[in-house]
Amino acid sequence: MFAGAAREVVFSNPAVIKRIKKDFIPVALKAANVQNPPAGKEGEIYKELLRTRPAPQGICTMNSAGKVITWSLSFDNQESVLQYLSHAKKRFANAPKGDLDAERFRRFPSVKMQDVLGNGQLLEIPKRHRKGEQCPGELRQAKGSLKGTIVGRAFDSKGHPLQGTRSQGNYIEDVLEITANMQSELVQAARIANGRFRLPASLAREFVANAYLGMLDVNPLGGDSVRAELLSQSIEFWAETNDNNRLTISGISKVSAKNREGIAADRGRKWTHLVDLKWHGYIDLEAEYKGVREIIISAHGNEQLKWGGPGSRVSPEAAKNPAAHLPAGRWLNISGAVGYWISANPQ
Amino acid sequence: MGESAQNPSYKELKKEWQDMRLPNVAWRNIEWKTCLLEALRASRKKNKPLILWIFIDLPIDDKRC
Repeated sequence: MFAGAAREVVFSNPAVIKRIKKDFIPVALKAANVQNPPAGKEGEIYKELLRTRPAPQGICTMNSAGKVITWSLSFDNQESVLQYLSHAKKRFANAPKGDLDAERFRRFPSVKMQDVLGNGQLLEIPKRHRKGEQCPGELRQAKGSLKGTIVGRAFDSKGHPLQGTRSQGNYIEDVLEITANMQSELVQAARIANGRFRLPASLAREFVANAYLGMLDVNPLGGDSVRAELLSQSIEFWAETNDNNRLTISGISKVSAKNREGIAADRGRKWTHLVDLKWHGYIDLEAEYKGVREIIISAHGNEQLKWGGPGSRVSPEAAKNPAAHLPAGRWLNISGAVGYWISANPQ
Repeated sequence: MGESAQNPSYKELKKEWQDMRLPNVAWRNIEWKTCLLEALRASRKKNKPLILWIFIDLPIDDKRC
């Protein structure tokens, strides 16, 4: 939950955005690269994060030598985020390029953890990666994939999209990848079809697996990666050939899942999620069905999502003061009409 | 908009996608770097500290987080 809560509460706050743009260099890193630092000079900086981190996910500040200034996992309140930025800036001014003890807060500024002392080692940091060296932070997309973007909205009882788009309970954007293999399966199925045919399962699943509100943790089809127990899934998509290389797509999907149980580390993690959708759209194929040119598809239906509640580690206080509860986030209780739109093109 | 009575055409769907995707969501105002070497170079040049957001998966490039 941490990332979703951090984006909603910290990095969508106009005052915080303004301060970061003015006074900081913002960097987004994968926790997996901190956990398993890559080889090379950049990996040495990841190791410094691993050496000092108070938890796998968090917010921290760093000086120009790659030394951690201050970690924090949450903040006393919204104002404390700005205080944290001022505090980090001050510590940076005292040691912009030198060794530092890494300060750590469970909650800034009231709940401090033990510092991790500087190790006296200053890295030689190259200006850029060597020729041919891949940056561990680089966004990768498989060769031949179509990049898709999905937009999801929750609707009110009158059918109007809900505002409050900071919250992924009301508004989501995500990226999906239509791989070369999915495209190939589709083209092959279209070539031998006579009229209506079933859409290959991998492609249908890619659509459905991205169509849900909320953070990554509540993906009904996320499996072990989100510690989910799949309760039911029904996915059925059809394509119909036309004379103009355009396939008309229709489908239904209904998936439901909950938090898995029986594993000690998952205790306090409580959620349920049901997404019930009807799909309609189009896929344009290249001439003579040589490939996929474009996909545009939408879905409408209903969704029920609960995150937290009695017996969970999500605090009832989080709704009033979300900055103080970033790791577990706040309760979610969503039930209503939703819509999703997917557009995919070659890059 | 919540439930369409009639299936939209290709053009209508394209327009719906554009209408539903908000161009100015707050979190898109921060341009996150993903390369530490590049960020530290900028830090030295501009004499500014880094702020790092470390989490499961990358919520930039309009991704869910």
